[in-house]
Amino acid sequence: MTDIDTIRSAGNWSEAYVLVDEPPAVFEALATGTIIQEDWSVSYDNGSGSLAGCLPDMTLLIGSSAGAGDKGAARLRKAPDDLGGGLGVFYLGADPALAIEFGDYLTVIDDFEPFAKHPVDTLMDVDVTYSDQFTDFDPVPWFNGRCAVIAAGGTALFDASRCWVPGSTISGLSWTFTGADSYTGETTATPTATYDTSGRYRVKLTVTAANGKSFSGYGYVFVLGENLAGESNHLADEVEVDYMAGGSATVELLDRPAIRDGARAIIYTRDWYNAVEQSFGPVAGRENILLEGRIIGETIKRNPMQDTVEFEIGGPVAILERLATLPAGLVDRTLPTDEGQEDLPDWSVMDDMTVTKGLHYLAHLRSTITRCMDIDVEDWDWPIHKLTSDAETLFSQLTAYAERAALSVRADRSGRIFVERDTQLYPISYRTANIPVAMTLVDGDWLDELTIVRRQRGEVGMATAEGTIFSGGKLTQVGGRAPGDQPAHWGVQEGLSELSVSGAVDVTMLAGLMAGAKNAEIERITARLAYNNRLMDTAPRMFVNVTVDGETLRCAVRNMRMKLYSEATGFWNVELDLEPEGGEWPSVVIKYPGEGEPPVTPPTKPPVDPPIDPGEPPPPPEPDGDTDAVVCVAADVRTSDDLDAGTPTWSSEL
Amino acid sequence: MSIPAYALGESTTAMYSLEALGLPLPKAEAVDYAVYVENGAGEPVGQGWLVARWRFAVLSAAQIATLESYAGACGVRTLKADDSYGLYSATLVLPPRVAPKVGMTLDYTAEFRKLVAV
Repeated sequence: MTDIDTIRSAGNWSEAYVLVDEPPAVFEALATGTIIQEDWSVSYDNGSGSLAGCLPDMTLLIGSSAGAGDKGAARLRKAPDDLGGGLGVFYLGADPALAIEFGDYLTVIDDFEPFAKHPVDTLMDVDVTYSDQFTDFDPVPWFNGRCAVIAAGGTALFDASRCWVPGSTISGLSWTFTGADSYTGETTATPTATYDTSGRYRVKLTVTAANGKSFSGYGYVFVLGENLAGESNHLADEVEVDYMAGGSATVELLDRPAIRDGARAIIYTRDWYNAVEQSFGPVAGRENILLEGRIIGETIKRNPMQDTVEFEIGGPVAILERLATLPAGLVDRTLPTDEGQEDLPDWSVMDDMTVTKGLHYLAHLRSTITRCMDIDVEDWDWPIHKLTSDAETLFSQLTAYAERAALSVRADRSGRIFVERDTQLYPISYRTANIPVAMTLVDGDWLDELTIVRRQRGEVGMATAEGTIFSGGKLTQVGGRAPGDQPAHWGVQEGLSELSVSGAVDVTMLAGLMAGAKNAEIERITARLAYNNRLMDTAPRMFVNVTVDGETLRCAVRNMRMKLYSEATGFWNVELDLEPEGGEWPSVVIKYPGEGEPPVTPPTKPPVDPPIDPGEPPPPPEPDGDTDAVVCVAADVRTSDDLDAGTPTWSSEL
Repeated sequence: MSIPAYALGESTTAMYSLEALGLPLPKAEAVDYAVYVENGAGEPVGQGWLVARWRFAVLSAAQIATLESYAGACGVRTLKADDSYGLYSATLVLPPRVAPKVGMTLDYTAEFRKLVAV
């Protein structure tokens, strides 16, 4: 039987488990002072454990007792200094909120929580100077889901085929499966690793690029059994994944120290179809994962009376929304500086800048997410002159950069981040050729009836897409409108702006596609599936086909809610919000004033000296005693003594 | 020796016939589903875990105690919907104890939930 045939067989049931990660300590010590903010270092004594195992970007817990993190968490910026005799120095990521006191317990744990990194003056992340980071970019690892949950004796699958590097190519892969009993393909994109003993195992992937750069990311395999098990039946509500807000779920567990802000938490299932244990999902090797994320600290509600704690697990979107960061700005080197700004630091200037390079800057240099999370960026190599964002969180900044190429930042249930263009913003022929169909729903696949929301009239009377073409240091404004140059008598105006495009064809296409999407007859279809059917996700791009009134509609998955049908049955089902694809509407090029003239040079900096105040106008020349009038014609000033005469006699030029 | 139609054990690898356990043969309900839902085509679809029930007309206290010793995770061989017999791992759920009449309990139903084919 195929996957879908098995899913359609009767008797699906499932058990959900919550696994809160409890990373072991790598190194423990006592603080011997406070943080020195010049280099964000803290010295320690009584160190024990593996100092060599303290890797850059590992998490350091600060606590009032051994192993605790009640006073906060920090990031190891780089390897610690070993001064011998248990003495040494930790170098941390800058964080003014950190408060370490003499005698605090410092515990480096085997985890890499995501942190933001900040530029100050000419330095990045406290002490990193610019060298060639914008010419030879670091490669970005991709695991196809950083965490796998398997049974003892099982095999974990990985797929590095989406590793990427701007301006170069991936030339090598090297996997390290510490603790695995056997593995295959350790230098290939699709290795496997088998673990016989339950426990928690780290996986390392070192990616090398043709430009000579390499970078390592980390993931984990959780092997279930006598040493490690999730907790069942503690879901307070459904697991929901939204295409914009990402995944989330609220759970309630017995309280324990491991339940802290930022701790990794995974909701996984054991599924049975046709009385056989097996799981089906869109990601190979992650079919049993309902949600991979981290505990959102502000949602933790401890109940001392019951010794329980309720909290929310947030997927990548929620995690990135909590990473506070400084404004981020980049310009292309060929763009003349404006706003009077000169001598931009090297960390702000790129050659041949693209949105992809800008997103690499945010994901890799302004944060640690490439170390611990999968992020894939759809490669748009259209030149862009400037990327700026004063948003306060990393997610907002990634979104602001992505929107310049009409891209969105989305995440799936397995914790993978995709920066990609929505299905609706691709031409129909592209959709057909490149966007997969997760499954086609027929009327036996949903419970009861579909809920279909139809538009009574168009939603958008005019869709616009405006942006610039950047070439040779010059900008050309372009725009497109749909369905025409005038708004329709119904609907609102909606648009994409500040796009970076390669030509007018891009903006007219986007305007037409946006109008087509927002004015499609069917706005939304909600389907409550009759099976424990998780073959689809809200990211990456995929279609779910639905047949309505004899017509098969390709739909994007906008929201997915997985919940227990009833406690007494073990039957989980899935509710989908689907958006049928729109058509391609006609569109026109916006006529800007001066269009057709050569591209304008971007504004240069204003003059250093302010304009001279003209002051009072100079007084007119004092006429001679007999002069009757002064006539000024441009620069030619003459006088006449006989204006009363029929033909005055004019003097020579003054 | 033929495989007994009905058998019970701590797991599917340690099974005993009901005769060996001193239990009478039950009137068995074939393996069924926890719930029936109606799909968009108007067809009932059995969903949730598989369930099997053994109904005993009368059991002694000792026989009930025998069944209770297997409550929770167990192995069971029982009747399937196609009138054949299947071996499953399951969770045995028993009714609460009631005062027996003349030392015997009438209409006693043992329910096996979460049946997983072995």
